[in-house]
Amino acid sequence: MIKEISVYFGQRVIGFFEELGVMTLFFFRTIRVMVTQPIHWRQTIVQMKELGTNSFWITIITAMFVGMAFTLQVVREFLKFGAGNMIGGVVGIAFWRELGPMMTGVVVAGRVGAAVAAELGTMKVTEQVEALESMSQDPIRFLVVPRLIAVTLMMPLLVGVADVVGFFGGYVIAVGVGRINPYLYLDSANSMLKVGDIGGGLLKAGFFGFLIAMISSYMGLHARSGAKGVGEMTTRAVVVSLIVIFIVNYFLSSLLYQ
Amino acid sequence: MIELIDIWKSYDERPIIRGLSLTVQRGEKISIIGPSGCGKSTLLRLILGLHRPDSGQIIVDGQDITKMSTEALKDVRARIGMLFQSAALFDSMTVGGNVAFPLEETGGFAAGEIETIVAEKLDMVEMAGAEEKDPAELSGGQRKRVGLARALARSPEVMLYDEPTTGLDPILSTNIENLIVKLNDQLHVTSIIVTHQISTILRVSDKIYMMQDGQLMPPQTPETIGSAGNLYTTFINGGL
Repeated sequence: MIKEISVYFGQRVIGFFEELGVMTLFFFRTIRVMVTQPIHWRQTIVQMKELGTNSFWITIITAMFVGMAFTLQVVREFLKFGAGNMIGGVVGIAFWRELGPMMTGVVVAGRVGAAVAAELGTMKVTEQVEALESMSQDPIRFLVVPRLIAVTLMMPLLVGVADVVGFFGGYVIAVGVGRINPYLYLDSANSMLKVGDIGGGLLKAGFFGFLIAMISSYMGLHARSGAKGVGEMTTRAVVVSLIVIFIVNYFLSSLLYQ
Repeated sequence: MIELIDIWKSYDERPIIRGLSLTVQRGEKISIIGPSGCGKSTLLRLILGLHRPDSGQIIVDGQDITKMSTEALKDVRARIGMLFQSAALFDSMTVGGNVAFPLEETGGFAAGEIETIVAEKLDMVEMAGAEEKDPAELSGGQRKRVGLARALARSPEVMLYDEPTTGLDPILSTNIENLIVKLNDQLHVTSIIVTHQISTILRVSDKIYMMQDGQLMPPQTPETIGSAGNLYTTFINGGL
């Protein structure tokens, strides 16, 4: 019994490290291709539209309501302590530093991560990836690098929009529900928010975009045959992306905001 | 000429090809038959350099491709076209985009020239005027034809067909078989066809090889296969 349990866990651990090794090789191969081979800009622009621009509305709606819900909680508590004049700054810092990047990261991991993994997975199981190779096209250059650049560049833009929308969602609640002076809301944000808060949030967004695209592309290109294989890898792409984003966010926050 | 010498290939420590050797002369049409999972499709992928053998040599026009870098393989692949079992059309492109793809990505062709070649290849496979169609709009047989047009875009000297007629009804199968014969007659390409379809084997092959236990049995011709005895006859009688 103990032997069977040991064998089971041993195999799981070996499997985990094997996959980690393959994923690491994939990561370095992608970086090498990105640096040494010409970028496929036409594909990159197509992907920026597909993965970035098409995520615009979902990001705006999510940011608006997260900003409103967050401010609704904050405004009640702050007013009890007579700290209503700080709400704009608190909402701004929370959004630019954490809520904007994290919330957009979650939205993009769900929408874009799933789309990338499903598309590449389907291409893999329907021999389209091999067809590319048969025509001397490197799948990493043609499929992965354009998605990587597209999501890495579009994420800070989406986060920038989410930050602004979330902040004004907070404004609506602070002014409408909390009866905070609009000038005070904006002024506290102006005095409390630093350029580093904004830059740090956008930097995190770029990291998250890079990770989501890398993880999802890896999962898609390693899908096993059939709809089940693609479905499994799509789910894994989203789950792994989310976990990695949450972990990386903690370390980036502790590095950037000391 | 293509020559495979003592090829061995395993997946997950399971040997698929065991010491296989084969010589295909220029302009020859050969079919490879055998039970499912015996390694027929793997053989095509080895010839195209998509997979590397564990050992052995694959000589294409005097060059051993097993030792080549991916960059050097580009020249070899430019001379070989492959029709995949599922046709493998890119869903994100139109029919015209699919056929133009190898020309655009290889470079060296003007836009007008690419348009002309696309129209010519689509006409060759009886899909003229389908440039703007989406692959999702096509039937199985039409997809195969477009896949064939794409494989022919760079005017290859060698064509590899992976189950070109599997899953098609008898009429569509006959159409594709006619196309393979026509292309061979017109363009004099060397053809290697992996298939299960008896009608395809009999109509398009100069030589027929049975793959068994990772090796090829001595070849037969469409005329001799019925009386060859052993596994060939079993296959023709539907026993494999």
